[in-house]
Amino acid sequence: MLARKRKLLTLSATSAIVILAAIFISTLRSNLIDVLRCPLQVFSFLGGEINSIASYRRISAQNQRLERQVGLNQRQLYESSELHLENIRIRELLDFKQMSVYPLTATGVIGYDPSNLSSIVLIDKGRQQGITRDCAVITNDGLVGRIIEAGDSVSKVLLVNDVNSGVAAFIQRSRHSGLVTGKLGGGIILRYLSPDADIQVSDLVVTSGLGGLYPKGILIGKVTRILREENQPEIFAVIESSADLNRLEELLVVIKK
Amino acid sequence: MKKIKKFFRNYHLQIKVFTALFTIMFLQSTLLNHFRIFNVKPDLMLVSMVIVSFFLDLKGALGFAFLNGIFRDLLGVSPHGFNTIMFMLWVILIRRISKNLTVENSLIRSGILCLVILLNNLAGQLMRFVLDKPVESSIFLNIIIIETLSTVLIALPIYKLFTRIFGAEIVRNVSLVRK
Repeated sequence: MLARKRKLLTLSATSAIVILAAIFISTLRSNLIDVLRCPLQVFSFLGGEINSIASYRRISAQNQRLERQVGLNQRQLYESSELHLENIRIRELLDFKQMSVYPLTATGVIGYDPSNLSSIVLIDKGRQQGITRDCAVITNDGLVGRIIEAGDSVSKVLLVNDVNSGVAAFIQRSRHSGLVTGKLGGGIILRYLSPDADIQVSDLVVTSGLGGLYPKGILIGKVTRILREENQPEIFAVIESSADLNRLEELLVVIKK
Repeated sequence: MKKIKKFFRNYHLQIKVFTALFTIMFLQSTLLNHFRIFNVKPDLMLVSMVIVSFFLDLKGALGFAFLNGIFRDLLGVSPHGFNTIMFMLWVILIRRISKNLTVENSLIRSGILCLVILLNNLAGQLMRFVLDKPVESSIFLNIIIIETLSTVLIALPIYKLFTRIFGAEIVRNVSLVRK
């Protein structure tokens, strides 16, 4: 009985050391995340289905609204494709360099950070698909965040509304630059704007490409409020993220060349 | 094959309890995200921590706290091992407190859960202060209040469900080491 207990104790201690080592050593840590991929995918699928049933009415109303929007968008698309062709012809005439197009890979969200004090999502692709640390993550609507940890087949994305996040950005209309930081609760803020910055409500904020983490020109969101801190020369703006950070399902990762 | 069957026969209760708790753990990081209230979700992992502290013996509870903490550390951004250590501390604390109290009283159970949620969030915020990345105090207060309320509300039916499925007689009788 004593020998059995001792054996169990040794086994527990060994496994504890191995698991703790796996957490501390980053390569082993990423392998440990990969282990969670299958159960997370199963639970994520079930969660998605239950959520669809629960929000049937909302989705139905949204569908009707989007159908109307599609009609408008199709007309705009036709007009913009004409402009695009014109743009290509003029670029060729002026011998401009072709704008770089980012290679993208589509991924699905399989999990979220269990706590409320940070904003992280887990995606079902990793190093095997060319995803590395600091790759930008977007949706069709705009910027979502960046990769902070990449396993073989699972990666962790730090969202732009996390307090640890910082994105160099500028106002699209006036080109005044600042830093977009997160404050949880769905809120993001454009800080360090000069006191004389030309900024208005509804201005679009895009990535500036400074620092090299995020490609230039990705839409972050729209200015909803402009504030000035007491005894501080800088002004800052509250931004409504263009991507719905609370309902992320399909994401696009910008693969670094 | 015989050995596996014997193992399942000997440890069927432990396996059932751990399966239920692991399901809660995975639900926390998947399904629950769709049911946020003011951008805050209840913390089922802390509920499961309190349940294991009541239902399992110390070894079992510490074992589950260890795995629960690792899972949270892997999916989150907190420094490696922070949740693993904190969760094990909560188990010891809850067992210390519950020795002197009647944990069958749902009000006392809710009180203990509130205490654990508050302490866990305060420890998280303190760690963020050390790392120079604290969450804004108004948002932190908002998180603490909503998280505590929603978690306590959700914990009551979970605890009832747990005792109904596994039977109240397993309280303190489920051990990792078969007696």
